[in-house]
Amino acid sequence: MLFSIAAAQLCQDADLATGYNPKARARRNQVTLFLTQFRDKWEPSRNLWGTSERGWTSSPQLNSSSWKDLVFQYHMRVFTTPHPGNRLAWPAPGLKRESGTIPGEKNTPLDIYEIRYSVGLKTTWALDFPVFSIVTMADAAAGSLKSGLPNLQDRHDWEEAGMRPSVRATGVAAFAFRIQSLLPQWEAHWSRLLDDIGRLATGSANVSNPSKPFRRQPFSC
Amino acid sequence: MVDTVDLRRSEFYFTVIEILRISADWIRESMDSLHQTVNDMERLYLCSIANGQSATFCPPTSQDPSGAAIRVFRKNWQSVISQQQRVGDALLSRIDKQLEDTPSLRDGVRLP
Repeated sequence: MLFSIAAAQLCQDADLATGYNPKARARRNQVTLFLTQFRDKWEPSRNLWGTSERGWTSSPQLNSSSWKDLVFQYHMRVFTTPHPGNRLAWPAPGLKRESGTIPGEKNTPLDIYEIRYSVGLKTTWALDFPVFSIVTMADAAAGSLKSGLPNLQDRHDWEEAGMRPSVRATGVAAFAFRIQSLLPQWEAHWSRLLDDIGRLATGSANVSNPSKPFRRQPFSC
Repeated sequence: MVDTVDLRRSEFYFTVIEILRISADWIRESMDSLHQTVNDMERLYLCSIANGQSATFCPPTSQDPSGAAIRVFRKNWQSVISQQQRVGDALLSRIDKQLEDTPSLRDGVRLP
C-alpha cells in the first residue's frame, strides 16, 4: 500500500490510466524504477562509462511542449548496527537487504545490516511557477523521517539549510533540501558502524545489541 | 594443527577488512551519484555543458531576467555537495585509518 501511495505522488493521474501513451508509460517506468530501487536488489545508477544506463533521471523532449513533468530520484544505502534507537524488526517484509555478522574475537558478535534512503521528485519542467511532489522513503530501522527532520514547508528551516526557491527549479530546490536533510542520519549510521568496529577491534566493552536475536549468517554481498 | 583461537582471530580481521572496504565503496557511490544527479539537473534545466557555464534557464524564463535564480540553483546544490563531501571525506579517512590499524594476517596469526 505504501508503494501505491508513493507511485500516486510521482505519477500524473493520466499515467495510471490504461491505454497506450508512450510518455505516460515512460513516467510509469521511471516511478517503477524508483520503487524497485528502494525495495529490490540494489542496482547501480550508472554503467561503467558513467552514462545513465538505468535512467534514474528522465529527460524531456526539448521540442515537445506536451512533456510537462520530470521525475528525478536519488538513493543512498548505508550499513547500520543494532542500537537502542532501532529495536524494530529488520528487514521489513518484502525488502531485499544485505546483512552480515562480524564474529566476535573477544566480544559479542556484531550484526550489520543495510538500510536505504530514497528521495523521488516529480516536477514540472517548463512552468515558471512549478508544481512538484516529493516522496521520501527509508527503512523503519533508519530512523524517523518525521521528528527532527527539517520541514519542507517551513521557511525558517529552508533558511537554516541555506536553501532558497529558484523559480522554475523550485521543485529541484526542494529535492536538494530533502537530500541534505538526510545527510546527518547517513553520517550517524556510518559513524556508529565504525565506532562499533573500532570497539570490537580493540577488545573494549561489548557493543550493545538489542535483546531480540538477529538471524546469523556469513557475511555476503 | 592451527590453533582455533588464531582461526577465529583471522576470520574476525578478514571480515572487518571486507566490511570496511565495502563501506568505503558505498560511501563513494553515494557521493558519485549525487554529483551525477547535479550534472543531470544542469543539463536538463540549464542546457549546461559539463563546466556549468550556462547563464539562463533552458528554455529561458521571463521570471528571472537577471539570472539570479540560476545562481540560487547552483548555490543550493553546492550546499548539498559540499556537506556530503565534508562528511564523506571524514568517513573515508576513518576507514583508511582503521584499515591501517587492523593487524594483517601475518601480524595477527601465529603459524605452527
